[in-house]
Amino acid sequence: MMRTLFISALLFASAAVAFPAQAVRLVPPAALAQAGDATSPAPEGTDDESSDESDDAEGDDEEGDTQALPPGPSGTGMTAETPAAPSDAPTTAPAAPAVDAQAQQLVSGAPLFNPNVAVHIVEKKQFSDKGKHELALYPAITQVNGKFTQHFGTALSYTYHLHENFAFQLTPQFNWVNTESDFNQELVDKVREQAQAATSLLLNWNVVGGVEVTPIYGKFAFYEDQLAHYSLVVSGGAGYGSTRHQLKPKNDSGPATFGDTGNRFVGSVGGGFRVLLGNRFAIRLEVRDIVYTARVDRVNGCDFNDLDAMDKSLRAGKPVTAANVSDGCQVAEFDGTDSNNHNRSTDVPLALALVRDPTSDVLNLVSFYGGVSFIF
Amino acid sequence: MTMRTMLRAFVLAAVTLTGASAFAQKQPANDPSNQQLIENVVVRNRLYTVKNRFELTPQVGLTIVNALTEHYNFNVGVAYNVSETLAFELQGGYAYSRHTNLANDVAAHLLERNPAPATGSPEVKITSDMKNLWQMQGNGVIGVRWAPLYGKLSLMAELPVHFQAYLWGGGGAGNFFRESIVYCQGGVTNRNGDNPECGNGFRTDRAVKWIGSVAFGMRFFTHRAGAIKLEIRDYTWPDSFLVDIDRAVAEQNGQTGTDSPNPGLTNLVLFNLGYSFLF
Repeated sequence: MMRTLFISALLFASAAVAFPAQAVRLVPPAALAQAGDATSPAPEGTDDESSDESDDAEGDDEEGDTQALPPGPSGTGMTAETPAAPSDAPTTAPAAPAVDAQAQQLVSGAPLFNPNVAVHIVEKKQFSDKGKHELALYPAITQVNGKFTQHFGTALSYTYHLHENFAFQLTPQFNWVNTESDFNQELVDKVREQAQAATSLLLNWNVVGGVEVTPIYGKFAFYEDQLAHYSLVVSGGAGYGSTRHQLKPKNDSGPATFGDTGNRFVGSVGGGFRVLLGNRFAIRLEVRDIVYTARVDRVNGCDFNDLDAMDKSLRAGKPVTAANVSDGCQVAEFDGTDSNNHNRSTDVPLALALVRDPTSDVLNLVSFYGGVSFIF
Repeated sequence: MTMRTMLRAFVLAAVTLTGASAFAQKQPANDPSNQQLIENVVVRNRLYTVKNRFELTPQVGLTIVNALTEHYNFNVGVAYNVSETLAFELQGGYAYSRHTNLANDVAAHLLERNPAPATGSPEVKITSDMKNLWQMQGNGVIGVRWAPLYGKLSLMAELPVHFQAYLWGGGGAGNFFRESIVYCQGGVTNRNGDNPECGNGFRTDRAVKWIGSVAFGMRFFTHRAGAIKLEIRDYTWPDSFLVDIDRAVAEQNGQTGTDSPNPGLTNLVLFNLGYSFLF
């Protein structure tokens, strides 16, 4: 950044020295801003845009691509006006030799049409993020790596932009669909196989706190006349989440049943685009990976011994509540019937099978997050 | 389901991104500081133009989520850019494909289950073959590429990178190979051992099928004559498999099973990496 500005300043100075006789009014780089309110102060963190533009101009020169120079006003159908000279502007050199009138024309104080002057246009970042708050809603989060599981959820994200390129972020997420995948069910139905318990662990909800950085800021044009500014965001964090495992699959006898497999720590990494819509709204398109370790050795707080005791009690014709279980075991979750008239005790052998040989895995829940954010 | 979900997600991303630009900042009409001229010049100033240029793109594609099959697709695309945003492209190539370890494990475990034991009850005697087992091999598609977004970013604060984002849609045909993981022919050797094997191998089929393809991608220009291409591409083709397979009959080299009445479609989602040479 500093180097770019320094080189730009040097080039301006060189141009002024090399062509003293030309009627070129030099203006401070800030006055050459392309976007944003020229009267507003330049916010911090304009490095990306500034270097982008200035380097771009350099790249154009290097490639000898004359298209990098703007066409004349007649070609654009627009008029160019020479702004009032700033009070501290240097005086115009007198007795300039005859040069093409168009080459002398100034655009926002810049000799854009002068082929002998290299103009480095410095663009300010359109809107500053520093000190801003951002509330994002991701209404439909879709898992994209669902081999054995499928998740759909909603998340709300609060971001505080501590600096222009650094922010703190808190994201609570609730997965309103978290079931085993159709593929896993197909394996069960057709070949009597299924994923290991830990591999098909489901994430109910999670809350992740972390940071977000925006290392890249850019812009794109939609066709020729719509301009959008965007930034590449990279996030990382850690948090806590609730897991469960499917016990009975959805079938003719009723919906699927699930057993609570406890809360555990989660980690999160992600990246994506943040497309600004004015200074108040943005669209966020991200992919995030929620990583969590999964070891299934308890279901509804009941370990193998508890479930084995309940299973034996059922085989003896007694209710599950007759079994002698540990304190943390929620026997009530296996007793009676649920709202779908499903006999909960039939889940006991299924839960027992899950914990008989405890399994562990590290799961990656990779999802696409598409949302809209409000900046204030 | 997984492939469809991924496809939906990326299509949603593409559509949303495209839609976002509709709300993007319109250039100010009357700006006293004459910003309008400069802004429009910048927007129109595409450093890399592609109109009326041919391009040649070798690329390799990898499956993102492997369930029962995995593919490595090597192909070459030839495109002609009729405008800065629109191009027609023909792609052709060959995909090296195979069963995943999961598919091999499932097949081996099923072999251990005896559908016609001398004593005791049969295990998994009547069943259906698995979906999505067709493996794409030779493939060719032709389609339209629409690249309405042209942008640039600053990489490491010193290197401006110009890029295009595009959507691609088209269709074509390919030849496909399928090896069942259920339909074992000719009996099973070493059924109760560690590595049971299918006597005459699993049933295989070959077919030529139509292919539909959509893609979302970006290409980053390295210079006037080249660009690195990153793409998410979905290939879709009609699935087919047998249901009501009597494994005991199959193991005796008999014909069994009927075509599934509702086989659905198979989606193969690849991450493509390539380089476009522009002429």
